[in-house]
Amino acid sequence: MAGHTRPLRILLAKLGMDTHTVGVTVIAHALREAGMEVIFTGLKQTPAMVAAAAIQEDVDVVGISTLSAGHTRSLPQLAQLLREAGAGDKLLLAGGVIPEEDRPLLEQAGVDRIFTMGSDTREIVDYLNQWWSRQPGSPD
Amino acid sequence: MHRKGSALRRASQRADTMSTEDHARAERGDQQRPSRPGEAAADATPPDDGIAAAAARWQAETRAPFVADNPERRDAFLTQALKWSVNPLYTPADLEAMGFDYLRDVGFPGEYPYTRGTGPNGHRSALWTMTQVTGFGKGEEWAKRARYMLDQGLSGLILEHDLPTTNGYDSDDPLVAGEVGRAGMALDSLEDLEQAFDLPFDKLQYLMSVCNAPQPVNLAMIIAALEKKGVDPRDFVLHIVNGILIEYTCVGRYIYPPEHGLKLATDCIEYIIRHHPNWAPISIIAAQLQPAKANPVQEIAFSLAIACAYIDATLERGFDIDTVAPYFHFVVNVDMDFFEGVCKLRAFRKCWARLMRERYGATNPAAMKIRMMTSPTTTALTLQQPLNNIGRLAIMATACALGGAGEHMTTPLHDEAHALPAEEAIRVGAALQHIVAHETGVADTIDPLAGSYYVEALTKQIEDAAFAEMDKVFEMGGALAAIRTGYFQRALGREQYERHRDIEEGRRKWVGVNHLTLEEEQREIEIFRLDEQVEEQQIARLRSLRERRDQAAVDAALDGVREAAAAGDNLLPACLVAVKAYATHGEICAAMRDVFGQYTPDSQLAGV
Amino acid sequence: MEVAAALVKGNVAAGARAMRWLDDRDPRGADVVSAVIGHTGGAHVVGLTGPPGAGKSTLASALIAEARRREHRVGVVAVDPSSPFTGGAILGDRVRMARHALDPDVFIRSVGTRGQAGGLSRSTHDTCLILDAMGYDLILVETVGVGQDEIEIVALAHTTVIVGLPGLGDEVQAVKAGLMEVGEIIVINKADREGLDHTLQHYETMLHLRASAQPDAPDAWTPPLLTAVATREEGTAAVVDAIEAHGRWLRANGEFAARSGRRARAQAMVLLRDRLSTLLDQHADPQVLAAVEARELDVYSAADALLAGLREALRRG
Repeated sequence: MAGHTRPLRILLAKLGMDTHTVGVTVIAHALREAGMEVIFTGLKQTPAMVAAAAIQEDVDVVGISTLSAGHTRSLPQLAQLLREAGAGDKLLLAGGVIPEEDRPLLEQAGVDRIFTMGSDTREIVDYLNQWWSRQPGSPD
Repeated sequence: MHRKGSALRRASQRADTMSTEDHARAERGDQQRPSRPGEAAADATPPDDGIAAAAARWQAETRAPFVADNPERRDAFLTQALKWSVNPLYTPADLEAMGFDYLRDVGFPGEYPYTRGTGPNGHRSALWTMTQVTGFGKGEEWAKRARYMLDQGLSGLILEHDLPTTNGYDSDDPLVAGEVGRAGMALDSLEDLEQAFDLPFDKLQYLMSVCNAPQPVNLAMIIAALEKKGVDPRDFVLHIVNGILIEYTCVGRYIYPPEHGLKLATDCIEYIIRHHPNWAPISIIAAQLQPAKANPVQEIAFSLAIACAYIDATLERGFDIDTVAPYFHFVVNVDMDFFEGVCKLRAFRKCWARLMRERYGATNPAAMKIRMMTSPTTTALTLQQPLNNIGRLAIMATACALGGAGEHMTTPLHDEAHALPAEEAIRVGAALQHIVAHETGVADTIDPLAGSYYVEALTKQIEDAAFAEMDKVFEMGGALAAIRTGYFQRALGREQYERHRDIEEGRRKWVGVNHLTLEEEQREIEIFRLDEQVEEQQIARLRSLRERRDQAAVDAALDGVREAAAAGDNLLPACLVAVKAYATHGEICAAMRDVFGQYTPDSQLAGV
Repeated sequence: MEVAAALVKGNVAAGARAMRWLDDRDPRGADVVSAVIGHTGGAHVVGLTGPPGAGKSTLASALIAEARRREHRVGVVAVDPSSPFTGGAILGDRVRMARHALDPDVFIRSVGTRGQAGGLSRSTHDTCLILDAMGYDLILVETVGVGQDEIEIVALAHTTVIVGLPGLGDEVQAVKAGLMEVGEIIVINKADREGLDHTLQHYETMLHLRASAQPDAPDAWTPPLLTAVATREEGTAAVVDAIEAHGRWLRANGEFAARSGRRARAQAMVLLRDRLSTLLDQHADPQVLAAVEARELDVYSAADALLAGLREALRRG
């Protein structure tokens, strides 16, 4: 497997009006500590804003933090927008308060992995590192 | 004493402006951990004092041989948030080494410096007022739930609004789709409040409303709704949180740039002092700093520095400190470290008293007595094994009571870690406070933990460190400057990351999370799900209102809001005209946005 | 070449992918560059540099708004520091430009310095080139703002805008003395803060010293000293005026193409050094290095021997 000559790029965003940042802050720091490039788009984002940023930045991963109940609408919308723009290959992660019963809907809509509130950041880092190591690197 | 002073300065430097882990890492090499309370006494040659000498003898003859055979179960015993080292034993010698003076540092209940309580009789004459947070969906749903809560023996209510409202948008704004009525009551117009206030106002003595960024609009709506209901505003207490500066610091529900946020907050304070002097115009919610992982020293220092920003702005409106200070109110959380919690509450009272006397020259005792609501924190609660949370809440509520409780105590619900509260949890939450108040005896004597060598030592350490941190904030230009430069935000971001690692790496045990976890655990608990139709109904009603109202009057009133904003006038009169004309909440917020602009801070991500 | 063809038509995803390839040193990136080079050279590259806290991102956001009103298509490269310890970074400049997120004529790319000194990243030049080929005619490059050694931007940009702020100590701003020698536009942002007069004086003195140190030329560019409050978009139209005026001045004096050319030349040398460095690593004779390590050979003789080995390897192809 060819190695990667650059760090993994991940976009972190908060969708909707929810402004709790503790979780996303902790994760941003942990990913940075793990050598990743974290692009933060700020609060109060719409799915369209996140999709536009993800495409311009051509990130490898899009991570969405949500703590209010709007995720059942906004996450599928985001996944749809990414696919429409030909960016469906990006890994789409969601984290925060997401009830178990919403999982099937979100997974079916294109969310690749859900990390619920209080997930160990090391688990997230491991998951991303493993995923990244399976992605084709650049030829030397 | 000299050594201790420098230790405190170093401790306060934990909240320095290092913006990344790199800086922290770079510094770790040459900077020792701050030394801890009590260490000075333990390290120094024992003074020629009977107790210190006896303690040294006990250590050498009795404890050391035992510990040699029975190693301690942890490498270091640290307090939960401050991570200050906890000594194996505290004696009068520790207090003497820190220059503790009973009359000066503690004194008597109801007298300066109020360490033992602001009232002269603790909770023996009356218990604290017991409240709970509520607020869901549409106005009439909130009223239904509020009536249920009043029936459970509560006399005060807290009205929270949904995110569209607190961020200044109407329910039909495309930006807020899916959020309407989710985390609080949707408030689009005076009509919504007219429905919400279908309440037994004879039982309701106290209503706290949380709507910080659009505070003048929210206050105007409540005043207008009470007028329509014919409620005499002198018969009960409306308490607005009006806490925009903490929104900029860590919560994030802001609309306008900080200087305008402060101006609007000051408008509300001024209006209430002049027109409804029995109401409460401001709360500093230290309880929002705590979940953002402020440690007790930062909680006190940041809260009080923020209070000073409001006070300074209010004094500029022509009031004096003895009039203004008694209007300030604090909400303070207690976390699971029992003694950090108790000592923080005791130190908080003293810091406020000292600040009012030393910085502002207050002479009115009411100005120096802090008004406080306490609460167990939701951040101690776990999603896993939710019934454990009832135990946690009982312990934290006990700590609140032992720390003095304040005039009010509010208890979160044991299932809040997952989502919105359910009815059974409301009943248990209300019962919990009654159990602490009536069954444990902790409310039967005043400040029962006073005189504990540990409690007094930790109280004083927290006080000293908080003052050092506050001085630092004042030096950089006060709370507004600290917000604009991101000082507060970065300090909290660092704490968030470090405390999270404490749990991940097992330095702090948390039952159900990293200790005594259950393999097969169902993480689902009963949650309060809002009816999907709420949003549609809310939007339908808002649109119908726009059809029914006198649009010309609305347009004129919104122009009036813009003019008042541009002229720098107090916004309340213009907002009152607008809400009575049924201009919507979002429309009025947008009118002010036209003048003040929208705030996009340098960094919305705390600590970056 | 599908990506190249798409990006010159302005396809956002294609342009973004080309930037990724160049970032990754994927050979397809080089192919894109040679395919699109004919579509480049038109963009005006503007560097924004200044101390941390000067509000560069907020200023950039206000400049974008103004430039859009003048129907420029705007590309932005926002550089933030990477951790020297982990290589990771938190790139947060987009936050302040969020209001342009949905404007199809604004393209924002965040990059980490990834160990590169000088306030830019290795790929900044390439990213600008792709933006140019995509038809963004105004490209803003926001540097790290670590406070020193940001001279790289001058080599990259047609126009360098120095962003200062009132009230910052002279000693901090003086660090920028090196930049003051070359900055073409000076903007004191946050001009509603205390200490503006003092800061303006400070900059005026430095500009005066700079002017008197340079030979008189009748058509020389005189750096304007402007003030702005970017959060309220006050004074930012004048900054865009100055940027456009400098662009016209560059073109009138043949400097526009000359600067682009010097930049390309410098970049070619960077690539050459890069490749030589790779070659050196590949061809350094391990026996020679082992001998140095064992102190059997001195370092000067070793370097001569390694270079001879490299020459030999290159001759053999």
